[in-house]
Amino acid sequence: MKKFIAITLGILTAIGGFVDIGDLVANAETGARFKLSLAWVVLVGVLGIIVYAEMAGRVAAMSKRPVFDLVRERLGPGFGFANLAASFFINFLTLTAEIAGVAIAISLVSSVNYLLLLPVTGFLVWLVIWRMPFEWMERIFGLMGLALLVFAVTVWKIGPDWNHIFHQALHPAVPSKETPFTYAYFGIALFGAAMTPYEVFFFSSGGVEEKWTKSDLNLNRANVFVGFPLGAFLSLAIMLGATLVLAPRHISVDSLSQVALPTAFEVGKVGLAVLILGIFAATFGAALETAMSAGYIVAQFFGWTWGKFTKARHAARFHLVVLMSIVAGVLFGLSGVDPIKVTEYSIVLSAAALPLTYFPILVIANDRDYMGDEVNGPIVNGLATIYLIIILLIAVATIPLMIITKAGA
Amino acid sequence: MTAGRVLYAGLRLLDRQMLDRDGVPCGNVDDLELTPGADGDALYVTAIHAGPGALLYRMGRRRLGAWLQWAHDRLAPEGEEISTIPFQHVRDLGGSHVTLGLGRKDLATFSQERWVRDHIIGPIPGSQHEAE
Amino acid sequence: MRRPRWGVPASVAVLLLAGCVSHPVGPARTHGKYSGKASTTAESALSAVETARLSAQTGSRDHAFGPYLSVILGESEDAVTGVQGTFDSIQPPDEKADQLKQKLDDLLSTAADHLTNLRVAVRRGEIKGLEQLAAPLAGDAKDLQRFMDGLQ
Repeated sequence: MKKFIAITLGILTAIGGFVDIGDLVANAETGARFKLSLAWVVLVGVLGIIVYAEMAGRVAAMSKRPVFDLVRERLGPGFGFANLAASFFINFLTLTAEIAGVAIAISLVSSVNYLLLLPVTGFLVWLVIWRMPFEWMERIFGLMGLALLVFAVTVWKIGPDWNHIFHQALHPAVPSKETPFTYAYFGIALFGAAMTPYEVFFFSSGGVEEKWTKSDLNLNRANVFVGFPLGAFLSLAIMLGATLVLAPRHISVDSLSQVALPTAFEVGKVGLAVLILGIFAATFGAALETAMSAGYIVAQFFGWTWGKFTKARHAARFHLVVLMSIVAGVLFGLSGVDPIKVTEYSIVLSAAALPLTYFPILVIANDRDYMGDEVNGPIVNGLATIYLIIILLIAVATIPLMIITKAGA
Repeated sequence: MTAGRVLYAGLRLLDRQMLDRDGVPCGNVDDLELTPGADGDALYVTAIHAGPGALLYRMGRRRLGAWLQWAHDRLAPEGEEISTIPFQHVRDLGGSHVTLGLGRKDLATFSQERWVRDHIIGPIPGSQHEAE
Repeated sequence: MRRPRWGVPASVAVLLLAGCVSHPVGPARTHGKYSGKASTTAESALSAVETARLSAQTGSRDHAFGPYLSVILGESEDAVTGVQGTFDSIQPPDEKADQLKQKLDDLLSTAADHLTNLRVAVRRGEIKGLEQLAAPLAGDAKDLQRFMDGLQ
């Protein structure tokens, strides 16, 4: 019975944890501009992250080392450092966006300007990392994140014509107002939002922190196979809400408040309140994960002690990186950058940098020295290789597309 | 010099995580020191380099790396930490780690950690506890 | 002489960060380009106007609370004045463009005024009557749409 509860808890946590500000913005923006013509990208993305997150978790359980730790070791310091620099930069953008997301969520219920809330938000994020036990963190924010299911309630309340919906989703076409270039650009953004690299860093480091072993592999798989698809379900609900409520009114999404508008309009005050709670939880959880990821990847590259599972005094440099990343994220936010723009850039660049994160996982997951007999089977390798080719193509196409479309204008 | 093990140094030694005698991570193997053997033919691994500047030096940034090492030597007040670890201190090469018979406090890789601990992180209330 | 290895990634990073901070707007040398910018400006304004309309409806239905409406209506107002300011900073290349600018400016100013009314009303707590107060925005939306169609 205890095992059952543990698994259920893990799955519930996973659902709430798999949507962040990138998903909120990308799915709402895409739904408002492209309706359902990019819905298929969400499905492609979720399969990709399932394949790679399962591998990352398996690497953590079998080798007792998180993936990034092994990148320098297995692929050399040159590649490792390039990887570190790029991943750290993109992670930093994401961290800034998530912290801003928390502040915005609070501002929506308090009407205090979100800029004023940035410092206290940063402090809270740091404080939770500093003092809250790992499992509590996951459980509380994961479960609170379930509030985002109100997006599904929104769609249900609208009661759309499902035949029409499925037809639209299954027959993707570039809308007349858009060009193939903006279509591709937003497709990449959606893909980047679905396959976020920091999830992998956090997932595999977390697995080592929680001391996963071979017997935890099934729990890992349950988390991954149930959690991510449900995250995709939420993403599609967000997209559908925007398609049905915002698109017909020519509303394009450039703020988090607009993401909540369909729910407010259709469901009412309670729905809106629940949704804002969900946004708070999702962005706060993601802020925790990205801040810790900053510490993880730097500490692991240089071989320092790291993690929440040791006295803070004994992982001083790790905690310093976490602290400074949060401070820098708050300062960057205070400079007045548009958090939505930062979010857009972070997900698009995440997509472009995916090969850096996923190629090492694939290499290590096939290495018997680290994996024992839990190396990849042929099906996993086949899928993973197909995705590797996809993300390499995306990596090549992203910067040109960003220039051609002027970042999706 | 006694006969040593034969293995692929690039694969099994370089960039490996080092653990100290208590099993605590204490840096990576940044570089290796190779010395010609008595017969003049083969090169033997005689020491591990780890610490500020060592990795930069190996990656080609010789001047920057050497400068960092020099700066660290000048600034390190505790004195005895080594960045060149004689290979006889390696106790175990099993798993995917290089386990040393030394404590991490003896190594140059620890001095930055000590500084951050003493001057920044340590003073924050709660640093004595596990954040877990 | 070895090329600096960090040059390219560093400059890409700087460019990207700069892109986050402001919406870089270049000059419009031809009427076509100017007309294009007018169109995107009107499009952004339309989105803000429609957002405000929907928010007002939501408020009148008693489906949203004060702080939320205050934020979203404030953002709509800022969006319109923002794109207006950006558009005004572009030099019209010819006389036809001058007329275009005049027309769009009028539309934007009118819309901004209506949005201000809404924002002020919410701050005062007058939420039930928002939909009625937002009635003129329907006309603004139509005008903006007609303006964009006229540019085709």
